[in-house]
Order: sequence, then structure tokens, then C-alpha cells
Amino acid sequence: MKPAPASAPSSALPLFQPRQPAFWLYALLLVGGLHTAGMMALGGFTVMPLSTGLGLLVWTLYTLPPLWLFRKLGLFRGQPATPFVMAFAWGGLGAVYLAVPANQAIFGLAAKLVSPEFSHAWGAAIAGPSDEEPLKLLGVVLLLLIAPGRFRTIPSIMALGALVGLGFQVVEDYFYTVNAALGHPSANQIEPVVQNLIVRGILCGLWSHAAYSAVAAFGVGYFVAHPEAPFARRLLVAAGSLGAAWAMHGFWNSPLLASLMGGTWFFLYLPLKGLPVVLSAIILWRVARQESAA
Amino acid sequence: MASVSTFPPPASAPRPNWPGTLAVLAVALFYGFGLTALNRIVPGTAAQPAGVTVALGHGVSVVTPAGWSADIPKTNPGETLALLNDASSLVATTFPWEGSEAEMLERLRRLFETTRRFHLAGQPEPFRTARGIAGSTSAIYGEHADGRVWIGRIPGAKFGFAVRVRSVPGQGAAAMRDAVALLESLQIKEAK
Repeated sequence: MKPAPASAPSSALPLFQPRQPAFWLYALLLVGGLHTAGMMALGGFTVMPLSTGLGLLVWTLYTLPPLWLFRKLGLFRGQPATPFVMAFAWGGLGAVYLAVPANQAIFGLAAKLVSPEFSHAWGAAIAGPSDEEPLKLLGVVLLLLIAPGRFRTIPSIMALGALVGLGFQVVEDYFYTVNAALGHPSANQIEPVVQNLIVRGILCGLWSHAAYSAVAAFGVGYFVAHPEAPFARRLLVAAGSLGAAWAMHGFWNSPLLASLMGGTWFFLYLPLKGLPVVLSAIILWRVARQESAA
Repeated sequence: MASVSTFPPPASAPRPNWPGTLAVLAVALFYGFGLTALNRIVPGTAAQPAGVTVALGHGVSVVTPAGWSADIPKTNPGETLALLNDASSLVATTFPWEGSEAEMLERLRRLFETTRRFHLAGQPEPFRTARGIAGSTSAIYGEHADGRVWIGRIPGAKFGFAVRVRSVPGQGAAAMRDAVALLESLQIKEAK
């Protein structure tokens, strides 16, 4: 069976749409993200310049294998680079710009309304998925609003989600690397970059934001691709997909199964938490491709 | 001229989608600013009883001074005690550190100047508490506050400790006395 193109042909509506308010909202939030990322990098370069520069290089190079994999999987079929660059930029700048204060606020609220202990243990499991999943998905929605009709199939919209997630993932990893360098317990500037690359990039990278956002974007894709379906069902699929991404992200960030880390079965910890994420993304991708080809 | 239906549709500019964009804007405002505003509204302090011994991890403990409230969001149990009063903040913390004390001071200076917009005044001076805990101390100053920081290594451990007091300029005398008392209360149990 010949797979259907992932999206509309490149002759479809361009993404430079100055008459669309969504275009300017997208651009405005990107500028905010540039400011956030720039300030963080500036602070990093002042305190730990080698870590910050090396981290930038490492995480830029880290982006290439997933892009190659996405290409092999056919995510980019039928579209030029522009929408994917825009999706990646949203994830790395727009979503991060909004997620940084939101995460801080949820950590603060968890500490105040429950306890500092609770915030320390469960803050990431609440803030991460509750803030980051909707904010990443906003980028997909914005691109659909900027060029309505350009992305009409579930795979094309899942591809946007994956790229948004990848952008968020590498910028977040870079932020973590710089923060780790600022708090690193010695003057060594290479160690925090290597440690973060191994832990966040290699051990945890496969089952991270790209997969979550692809899962969440499946629902938006279904909503867009099935205008003939009852509205309630389309909304349910969209909400369910976002809910699934939220749950998997929350499970990953939670202290659940942490006891495995210190025991005999420590090697099961990452796959037990991460495999459901990757499998969900792969299964939904196959479903979407088959449905588009039908 | 009669229009011709084509598929895919021609690349013409679509009508501006205000409702969708405003919905996205509302969500973005909620996350970017609404949650922060909510967090500011919810009170974040709790009365902190005086004379309570608080563990900061790695065998380090301090005794709380009178007249302060716990800064709940900045408190990290077993690591950081954060206190507030009307014009001052007082923080005692431990942190991993494997380098030399000179490197620790240099990191502190850069962090203060870059991320916290504070400056260390002059060269740090050595200090030693009545219990024999030693380290370096320096006055700090910024645009809206000034104070002092004490920092040192925990003997026999790959950790450091810091006590920092910060006050509105001209209103920090009592806070400084409390900070010194807290520093003097600092105890380090040797690891067994």
C-alpha cells in the first residue's frame, strides 16, 4: 500500500500570513522566547562560559539524529522545511517562554497550598505535564490557524507536534545543562555538559517531549481531519490525546517507581516509565498513516 | 468570471481567524501571566517558631531566630531554610561542593553578580564561629537591598554551607544580628 502524503502539497497556503492575527501572536511569543533563552544563555556565558558554549554545540548536534529519524519515518513528506522549522521554533522558544513562569508558579502554589515537601516530590509531576503539554500544543494550533487547510491529515499534524516537542526538548535540555553548570559542585565546566547529555539526552531522550507532543497532536489531527464526525467525538479524541500525553508525562516526572532505582531491578526503571510513551507515539503514528492511506 | 473549484484549494489569503487566535491568546495569558499572578496572591509565609533546630542535610543544622516567617516556596526541606520579615530575607543552605574554597567564592561572586544582580563588596574575609566553624564572609550590595553572606566547606564532606541575609538599605541592623545568631547556632555533626 502506498502511503499517503503526510500533508498538503507545498503549493498550499504559505505560512507567512501577515493578515492573520495568529501569525503575529506566534511571532510575538517567539520574540518573548528569544529574550528568555538569550538571558539564560547570557547568564550562563558569564558564570560558566565553557559549559554554556559547549552545551549549545552539544544540544544543537543532538537535534540532528532525531531529525534524521523523523525523515526516515516520513514525517516531512509533502512539505517544505518551513512549517517544521516554525514548529521547532515554537517548541524551543514560544512554549518555553510561557512554560518557565508557569512552572515556577505551580511549584510555588504546590508548596503554599500543600507543603514544601509535596512540592519538592510532586511539583515536577504536576507542573511539567499541566503546563508544557498544552503550551506545546498551542504551537500546533497556531500553525493551523496561520495557514488553515494546509495541514489536513493526522500524520501532517502529528509531525508538527513531534517537531514542537523536539524543539522544546532540546531547549529544555540546554536550560538544564546551563543550570546544572551554575550549580555544579566544582570548577569543572565539561562534567555538567557530559552528565546532562548522558542522562537527559541518551538515557531519557527517546521517551520525551517529541513523543508526548506527537501523541497530543494526534487528537488535534483527528479533530481537523474528520469534520464529518460528530463534534463531541472529535473533541473527545482531542482531549483524550492531550490527556494521554499529560498522564505519560506526569508518570515520567513523578517519584513513582523511584524505589527501583536503588534496587536490583534498577535497569527496568527507565524502560518501564518510557516505553509506554514511545510505543503510544509509534502506534498512533501507524494508525494515522494507515487511515490517511485508506 | 466564474470560479473554478480546485483541489487542493488555491493559495489565497484566508480570512483572519480572530476567535481561534483570541482563544490561543487567552490560554497563553493564563499560563504566562495568570498562574504567576495567582501564585503572588496566595500567601507564601508561615509563622516560624523561634529556637527550633532545623536540619539542612549533611549533618548541618541551625536554630531559628525570633520574629521571622518561613518563606514556603523557597524552603527546601533538608537543604534550605528560607525566612522573611518585613524588610529582610535570611537563607541558610547546604549544597554539593568538591572544589576549593577559593573556587567556591569565585562561583558565588559570579552567580550573585550575574543572576541575582548583587555585588560582593571588596575581598571576602575569614570568619570562625564560637563552635569553630570557619569560612569566608563578604558584604553584598545591590540596587534595592544589601546584606552579608557567609560561606564555607563542611569538613570531611563534599558539601558547602551558606548563610545569606538581605535587607532594604538602612533597615537591616536587627536582621544582621539575627543572621549572626543563626550562623553561631550552626552545628555540623561529623559523619559516622
